[in-house]
Amino acid sequence: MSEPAPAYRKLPGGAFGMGGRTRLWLAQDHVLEANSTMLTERYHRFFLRDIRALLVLRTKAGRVISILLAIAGLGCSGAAALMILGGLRIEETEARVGMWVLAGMFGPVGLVLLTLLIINLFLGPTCRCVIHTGAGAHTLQAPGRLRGAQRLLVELPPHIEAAQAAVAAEPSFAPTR
Amino acid sequence: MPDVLSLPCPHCGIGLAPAAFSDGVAMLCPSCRSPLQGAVFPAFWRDDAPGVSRAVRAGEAEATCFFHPQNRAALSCERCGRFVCQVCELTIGSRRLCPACVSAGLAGEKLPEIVPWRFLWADSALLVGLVPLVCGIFAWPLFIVTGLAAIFLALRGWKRPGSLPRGRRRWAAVVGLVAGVLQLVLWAGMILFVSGWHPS
Repeated sequence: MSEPAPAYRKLPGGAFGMGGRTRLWLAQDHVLEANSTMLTERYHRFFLRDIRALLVLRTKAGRVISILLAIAGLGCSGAAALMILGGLRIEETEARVGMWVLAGMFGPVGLVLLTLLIINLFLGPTCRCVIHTGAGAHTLQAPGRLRGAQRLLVELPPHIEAAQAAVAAEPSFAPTR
Repeated sequence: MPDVLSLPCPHCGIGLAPAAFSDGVAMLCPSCRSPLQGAVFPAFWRDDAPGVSRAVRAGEAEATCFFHPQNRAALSCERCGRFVCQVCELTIGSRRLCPACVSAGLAGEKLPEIVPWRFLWADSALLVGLVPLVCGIFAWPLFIVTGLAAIFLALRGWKRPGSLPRGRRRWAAVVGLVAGVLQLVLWAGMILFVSGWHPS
C-alpha cells in the first residue's frame, strides 16, 4: 500500500518552456519543482532546512522576445495591409484575388504574433531563479517572470526560516531507549 | 561554514556578499551590472560539512541495530520501527528511515518523498481523447487507435497514483474516457457512411 502524498500548496509563478510546464509547490518540509509534459511529470525536491539562498536574476529574454514578436507581427500585418490596398488598385481580377489570398495568409499570422506580443508584455520581464543548497546551485525552471519571482521571494522565506529555526533547535539524534 | 562566504552571481559567476541580499531589495552585480534580488537563509552560515557516521558498539543489555547486531541502536525507523545504528539511518524528507524501507519505497514508488517522476494517466487520457477530436473529422481514420488508447489510459490509471502535487485528477480521466468512446462512435459511423450503409 503506498503512503499518502504530502499536502502541497501552489507557490506563485509558473513557467512554460520547451520542456513543458513547470510549477513550484510547497510541502511541509520541502519545495517541489514539478515539470510536466502532459504525459509525465518530473520532480526536484529542495528541503527547506537545506536551502541556503535564493537568487533572482532579471534577464533580457522577455525584451528580446518582445522585439522579435513586434518585428514579425508588424511585418506580417503590414504586408497583409499592403496586399489588401494593392489588390484594390489592381484591375485584373486574378491578380487581385491572388493578393487577397496572400493577405489572408499573412494577416492572421500577424494578428497571432501581435497577440503573443501583448501577452508577453502583460506578463512582464523575465528572470532566472537559482536556488543554493549544500549540494550546489540549481537553476529553477519556474518562476520564469520577475513578478512571480518577487512574489515567491515574499512568500517562501518565512517558511524556510521557520524550518531552519526548528532544525537548529532539535538535537542531532534522538536516542532510543 | 562554506569555504568562501560569497554567492556566485547567476550571470557572471563573481562572488557576491550575502549581506547585500539581507534587505530583499534589488541590487546590481558589481561586475556584470545584472539586476539581482534574493534572500540568504541561516543554512548558508551553518556548518553542515558531511562527516563520517560512526556507529557505537553495543554494550550489554543495549538495543542493537537490526542490520548490524554489533552496533548500538541510535534510533528507530519511522516507517517499520526497526532499530538502526547511525550507519544505517537515512534521512528522507523529514523522516528517518532504515535502508530496507528506502529500498522498498524506491522499488514500488511507495514513498512519495523519493518519487522522481510519474506517468500522468489521467492527463494522457485527456490528451489522447481530446486532441484528435479537436483536429477535426479529417482525422477520423485514427479514431479507432486514439479512442481505444484514451479508454485504456483512463481505465488503467483509475487507481494508479497521479500527479504528486495535484492528485489523481479523475475528472480528466472521465473526460478522456468519454472522448475516447465518442471517437469510437464517430469512427464506426464514418465506416458505415463510407461503406454506403443506410438505416433504411
